[in-house]
Order: sequence, then structure tokens, then C-alpha cells
Amino acid sequence: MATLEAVAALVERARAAPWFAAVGAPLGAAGRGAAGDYLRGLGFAGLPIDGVADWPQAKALADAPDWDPAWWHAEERLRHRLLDAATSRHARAPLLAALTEAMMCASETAHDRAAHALASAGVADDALARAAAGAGAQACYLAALAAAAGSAADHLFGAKFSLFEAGRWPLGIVAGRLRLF
Amino acid sequence: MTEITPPQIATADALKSAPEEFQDLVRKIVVSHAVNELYGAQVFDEPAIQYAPTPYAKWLTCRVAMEEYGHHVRFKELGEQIGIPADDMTPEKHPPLSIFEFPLKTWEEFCVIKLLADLAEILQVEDLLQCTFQPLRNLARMTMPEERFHAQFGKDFCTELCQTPEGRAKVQAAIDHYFPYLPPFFGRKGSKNNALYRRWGIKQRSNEEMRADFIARARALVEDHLKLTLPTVPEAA
Repeated sequence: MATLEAVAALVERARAAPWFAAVGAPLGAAGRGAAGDYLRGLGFAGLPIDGVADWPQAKALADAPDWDPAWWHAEERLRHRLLDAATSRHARAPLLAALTEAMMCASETAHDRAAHALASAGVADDALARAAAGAGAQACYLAALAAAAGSAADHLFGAKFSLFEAGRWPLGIVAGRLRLF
Repeated sequence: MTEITPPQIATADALKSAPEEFQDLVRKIVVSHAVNELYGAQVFDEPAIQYAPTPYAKWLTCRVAMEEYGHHVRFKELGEQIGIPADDMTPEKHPPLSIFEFPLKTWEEFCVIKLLADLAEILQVEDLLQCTFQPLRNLARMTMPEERFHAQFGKDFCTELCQTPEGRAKVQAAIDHYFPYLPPFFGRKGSKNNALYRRWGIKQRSNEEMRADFIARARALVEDHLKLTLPTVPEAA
């Protein structure tokens, strides 16, 4: 049961995180380090990491038709493996309840913060706020799933969630580069 | 049916002192919304994430799925406050509406579901905005902005898909497939249940009025806006 307590701890971190507070700021060593850990874990070690200047550019990159689906598929394969591992450790109902709570909490908090960040940037785009919240909720879910499966704290999904916790939004790989808003 | 002046019930607790028939009708409609919001999230929204064409569309769909699930949670919480067991508000205890029996297969289908099925949901929620059971009225007001966003999501993505001949054909095929399942959502013509709902002021409009309004609004979207064809469906019995 200890690992479901780790999921509960993640809910608290999601609630306290300064979602999207650092988007558009220059990338520092810590952000590049966490992004590098995430890429390495996903099988894309050494890929260049680019910052993203503003919300319109972030939307264009996230919606780019030439995005590289390989990273999404790699995350999905890993998610399925983690789900198998987690369901072998926990009863299904409490596991799903814990994961749902993590996702719901992240979704609501991230949405409020994304709407605030967009308004502060003078961008009126309800759909973009929702997409940002969806990305945050998904990252929290993946980190919670890794925790429930008993993965190490430095799991790549933990590294991805730590980017959101640092106020960033990893937008995925486009044209051979990780785009980190 | 005898004319009555419907009571205005302000709280979940006050429902206990309302007439038995009023209580039963409120419970029935709360269960229906709680179950169908969850069915929708499970059958359409969650599977759609894999079909969405870009990360932006995937994340937006993920958020929409969370919002639909959140609606289920809100109706379920209200249901528990008025004494409905939680287990009675999950899909396991209720056969699905026919539209939920077809697994989603494409992104175009999902966009059409949002365009038209969420329009049907908007009409159902609009009808609760003047409901005499005020907690249900408040819940309708709370969920309405998100329901409107979901329908707009469907309209925006269908509009985008219709920019190419291939996309137009796929959207039309999805409309042809799913639209016939939607008018029956509004129930039978001359329904006794609907008459009871209106008698108690829980609902405002007849099934026939709702269905006619839905078809008119769907036609405006499909034929006037998308320049596609809305299938003709037989009038419900």
C-alpha cells in the first residue's frame, strides 16, 4: 500500500505546483537536466532541447502536423507496462480511484493556472488553457502510475512531471528537437 | 392529469419533504445524467485521445474527457446527497443507450459526436436551467459552459476537417452513422414520464419540442455551416 501513498503525495505536489509560471522564460540548467533525463529514459538521449518564446508559438508547435509521434508511442508503450505492473501490486478499484484523483486534481489546478498565465500574457484562448491542463493532467497521471507501479523516484515520468512542477510545459518532439515551453 | 403548483425545492435535504412522485422523478433524472456522462467519457472521450492527430488535439481531448468525467462526479455527488446508492449511478447497473454500443473508430467520428451528441446534451441541460429542484438547476448552470465548449470543440474540428474533400467525406460518413441515434435521446412522443416531469416543473419542454429544436439546430450546423447533409430520420413513435 505504500506506493499508493506515493500517489497521494503526488496529488499534494500537483495542488501546490506553480503550473505554467515559468513558460517562456530562458531555460536554466535544472530544466535542461530534467528534460535530458526524460529524453534519455524515453530512448531519445542527446536530442537538442529548444525553448519556446510564447503561447502562440507553443500552440503552433503542439499542433504542428510534422510532430514526431515516436515519443508519444514510446510513452504509451511504457504506460501500458506500468499499468500492468501497478495492477499486479494493487486491487483495481483503489488503484483507479487514486490515479483518477491525481488526474482530476492536476486537471483542475493546471487549468486555473493556465487560464491565469494566458490572461497575464494577454492571450484569450480557452481551448489552449484546456489543452495545457490536459497536458499537465496527463503528466501527473503518468507520474502517479509510475509511483503506483513501484518505480524509482527518478523515473522518466517523474522527470516529465518535475518540468510541469517547475512551471514549464514540455511540448514533445518536433523536427528532431524537444520543445520546452 | 390534475394541475398543480410545483414546489420550489431549495436543497438536497429539503427533497425529503417533497411529494414522493417529485422525489422519484428527481432521482431518475439524476441517475440518468450521472450514468450517461460516465458512459460518454468511457466510450468516446478517453478512446478519442489515441485518434487525435496532434499533441494539442490529444491534450485538449484529455481535458474534455476529464470535464465529462467531472460532470459524472457532480451528478453522482448530488445523487448521493438525495439518497441514491453510488453503485446505482455507474454504467454497470444500466444498459447503455444505443449510441454507446458502437466503439469509436476514428477522430472524425469523435468530432461529430462532440458536434451533435453534445448539442443534444446541451438541450437536455438547458431544460434543467429552470428546474424546480434547485440543486439540479445549479448543477445545470455549472456544467453548461463546459458543455457549450465541448460542442464548440466539435464544430471547430469538424470545420477544420471539412477543408479537404477526404475530410468532408469522413465527417459526412460519421454524421450518417451517428445522427440517427440522437433524436431518440429525447424520448417518445406523448410520453407520460415527460408529462410528469413538466407537471412538477422539473423539465420545461415536451419530448417533441426538444427533438424538433435539436433537429433544427443540428441542421443549421450540418447543412448551413458545414454544407453537408443531415440524414432524414423517422419521427419517434
